Amino acid sequence: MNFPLGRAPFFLLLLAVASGLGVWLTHGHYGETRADLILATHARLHADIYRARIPEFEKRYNVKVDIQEVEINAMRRRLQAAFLAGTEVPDLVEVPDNIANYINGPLKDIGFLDLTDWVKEKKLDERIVASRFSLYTTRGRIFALPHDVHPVMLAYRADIVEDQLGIDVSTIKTWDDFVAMGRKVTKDLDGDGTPDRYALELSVERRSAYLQVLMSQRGDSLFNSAGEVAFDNERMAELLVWYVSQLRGPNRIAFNTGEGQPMWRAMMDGLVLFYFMPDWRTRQVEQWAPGLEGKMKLMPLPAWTPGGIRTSTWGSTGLGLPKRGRNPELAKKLAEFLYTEISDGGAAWSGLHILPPSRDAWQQPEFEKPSAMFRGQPFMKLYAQLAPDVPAVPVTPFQTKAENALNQVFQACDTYYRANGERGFLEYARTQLKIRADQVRLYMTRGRFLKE
Amino acid sequence: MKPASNYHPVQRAAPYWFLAPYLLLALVFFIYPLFEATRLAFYQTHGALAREWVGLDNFVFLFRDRNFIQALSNTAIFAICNCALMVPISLGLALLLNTRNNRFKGFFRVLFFSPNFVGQIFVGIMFAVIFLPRYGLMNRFLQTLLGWGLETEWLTDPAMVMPALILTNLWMYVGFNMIYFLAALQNVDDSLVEAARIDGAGPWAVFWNVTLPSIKPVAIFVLVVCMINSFQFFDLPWAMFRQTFGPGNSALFMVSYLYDSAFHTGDLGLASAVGWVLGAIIMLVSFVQIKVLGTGTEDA
Repeated sequence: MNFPLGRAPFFLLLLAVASGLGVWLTHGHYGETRADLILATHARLHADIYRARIPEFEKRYNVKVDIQEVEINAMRRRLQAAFLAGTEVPDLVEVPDNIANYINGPLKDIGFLDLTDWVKEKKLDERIVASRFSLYTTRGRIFALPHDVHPVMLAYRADIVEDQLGIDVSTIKTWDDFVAMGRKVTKDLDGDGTPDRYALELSVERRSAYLQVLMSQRGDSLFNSAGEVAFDNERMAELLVWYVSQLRGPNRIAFNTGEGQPMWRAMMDGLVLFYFMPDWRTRQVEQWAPGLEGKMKLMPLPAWTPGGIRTSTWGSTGLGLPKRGRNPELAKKLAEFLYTEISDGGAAWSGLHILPPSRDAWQQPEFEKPSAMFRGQPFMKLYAQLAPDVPAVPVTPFQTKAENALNQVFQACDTYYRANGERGFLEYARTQLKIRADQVRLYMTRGRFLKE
Repeated sequence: MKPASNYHPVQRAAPYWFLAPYLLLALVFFIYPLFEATRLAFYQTHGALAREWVGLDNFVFLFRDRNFIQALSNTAIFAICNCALMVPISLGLALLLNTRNNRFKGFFRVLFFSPNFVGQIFVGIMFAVIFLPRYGLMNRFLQTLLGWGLETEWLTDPAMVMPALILTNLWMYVGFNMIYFLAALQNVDDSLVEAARIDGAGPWAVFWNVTLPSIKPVAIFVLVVCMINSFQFFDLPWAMFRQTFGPGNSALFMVSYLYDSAFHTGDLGLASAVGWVLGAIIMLVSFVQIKVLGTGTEDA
């Protein structure tokens, strides 16, 4: 062989040409075999269920549908980047959380199709819990279909709370009742100065999520319906004082278990008795703490005032149709098929442990089935009973900034409380809320692309 | 030797052909982005879809934004503490391993270097578990050793976040920097050390007057690189705090702020402004370091 630059560059060149050809040929092949619709989801369980149902849709419309799984963080970043850069997107996308990250620009530049008129035409706003659309609405327009309702209950170790301690949870109607009970059960059992049993799980790491669960239950939110910052008020200051003092105070009743394995361990050890439990978390309990089968039960959240709302909401997924999708009408049909048509008695949704957003679906026989984990309670039915009360969560492009601001307020309050206790705490919380809310308002001055 | 003018034009162009691939790559991936980043710093953008001229507003906004000031402060504190510990610890380990009859030198060299076999993301996730209160290895270790620390909240107490990040970063990079020092120590002229000992110098005097001046160029290199890397600190806290800025923004660094502005908010203009501020700081700090300490090769 006589290549002028030597053997190594020759082989490198050969490799480059071969791989280039490979990519070119494969890409061409991909273009030819691409399905009529591509749906991308971040949840494997969703994908499995959709794959089982897709043949029926394909047969009905004589089309080919491809379901693709994308890791949740990759999904967020790639989709956002694709919208901002104008690159290729799937025809339908399950958006984790809400649409806050995709609505920074003017309405005409939002990457998702405006579904408002279609939702009204199909009367989906009447069939689906109306409050759920708030997560996917900006400037009065709807950009995704809610996948779920995610009501929140409390799950508790019934074997300890009821069998050992003899507590009747039906008497716990308000958070005041709960705190009174919590002070009795939070105890240092081995006398080493550190409590070994706490009443409630409250998170420090995910403080923003927990605080929003409690805020929503109280009827408050980070932004009001006009999109203005709404968390620097007396009610929020009181909530912060409540949260921090349950977690840190001399009469604390709550423990920060951490996330994942440490939380399941705390649950199995009985270190904490009551846990915030949106519907999706019940599946995790079954998966990660199977030894607790028959030892857990569910109850509605205690209300903030007598007769008040006994649930809240945590988490969400929505189905958006990117504008650059190839067949929006067919995509809408698929969205309606997957989200509102139930053909298996609710088995798929029940298997997901997720309450579907469509009210028609709540009467499914599968939802009546008793759960072995929760001592025979029909847990899906319990969530369905609370679903109509699930509060709306208004979303703006500054959602993440506001959540970050709330985190900072919490942290400042936490540090203050540990150093100073109750003295001047409420006033300090008020001041911090004002400072951080103004910070979000400063960010909002940069919303020049939001002015239509 | 033929005069240059007698070369064939193709031969005369040869150097430029050799340079062309580099110049082309530099033009596409360095010069053009540099120019574009400069231009973008004066715009507010919504990704690539919309942009509007804002003059110096991005820079003004940065210094009005508490989060940016906090990112700047966190980065500076991290850089100073990290380098103040990294350089002496790396040097200390290298000195320990540089003894003549150390049979385990190879083993320890691999052991200290081994954290570099895994990436920052893996290390971040691993240490997020190690630092857990009650169930984490670190707190269990502290409790066993000192009878204290089981409930220490490394990652949720803002005061503990910086120590946790510095400890993790040291664990990861001390071994890497140790290799530089070890190589430098092995090149110290033995005759100088012998001469100093014959003149009655003790171990400390030998280290201070012979070893340290001999390895000064490497020490300055390690310090400057450590400072530059510290100002670009991003992956580890991003993984450790699961793509958040930690409690009270205690894990918010300048590059995290840049990333958030560019890829979360879609404001490439603000991100470019952050990039320029960061670049200016790194250049200034490196310039001051080299001016104050010299390059270490002045006497060579």
